[in-house]
Amino acid sequence: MVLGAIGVIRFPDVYTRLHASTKCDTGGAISILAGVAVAYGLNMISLKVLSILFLIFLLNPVASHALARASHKYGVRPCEVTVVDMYE
Amino acid sequence: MVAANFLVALQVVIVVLVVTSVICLFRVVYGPTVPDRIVGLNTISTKVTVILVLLAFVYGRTMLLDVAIAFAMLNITGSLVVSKYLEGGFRD
Repeated sequence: MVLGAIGVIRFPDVYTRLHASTKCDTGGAISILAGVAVAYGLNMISLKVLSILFLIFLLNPVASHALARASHKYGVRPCEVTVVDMYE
Repeated sequence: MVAANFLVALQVVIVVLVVTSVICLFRVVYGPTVPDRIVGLNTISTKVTVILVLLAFVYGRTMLLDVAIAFAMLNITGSLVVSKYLEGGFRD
């Protein structure tokens, strides 16, 4: 998650920032929440933690995909060194 | 139940996540376009959800887990709604 934050700061345009933040954030959150669920043991509290894990695992990539599509339709151009843009 | 070193390590993790949230807040404030700010807000919201779960574990307040569930759902809903608004409405 630290590397994701550095990527959000340092990358040049929206799409690379989404690339950095989504993967690092989803993976980091899932691993931390799985660790907390294992530390709680098997009861109702860990069921709540696992439900948060499932929500983040399912819905965070959906939101990022919708945001990338919306920013392309909104008119944000990729940076100058972009080689291929298949979503024209 | 758990060792004291483990709780200290989790407190260090909480502090690191707060610092990275402040780093992402820089992108929210100085973002050139609107989707940049939404990327920063989405990242901050996921980090805050994880921070709430860790606080609930460290200090033994299970009420914070319900807050974290509601916050995760509201985060995703808000991001999707703003994305559809930028895309041009809910026509299709």
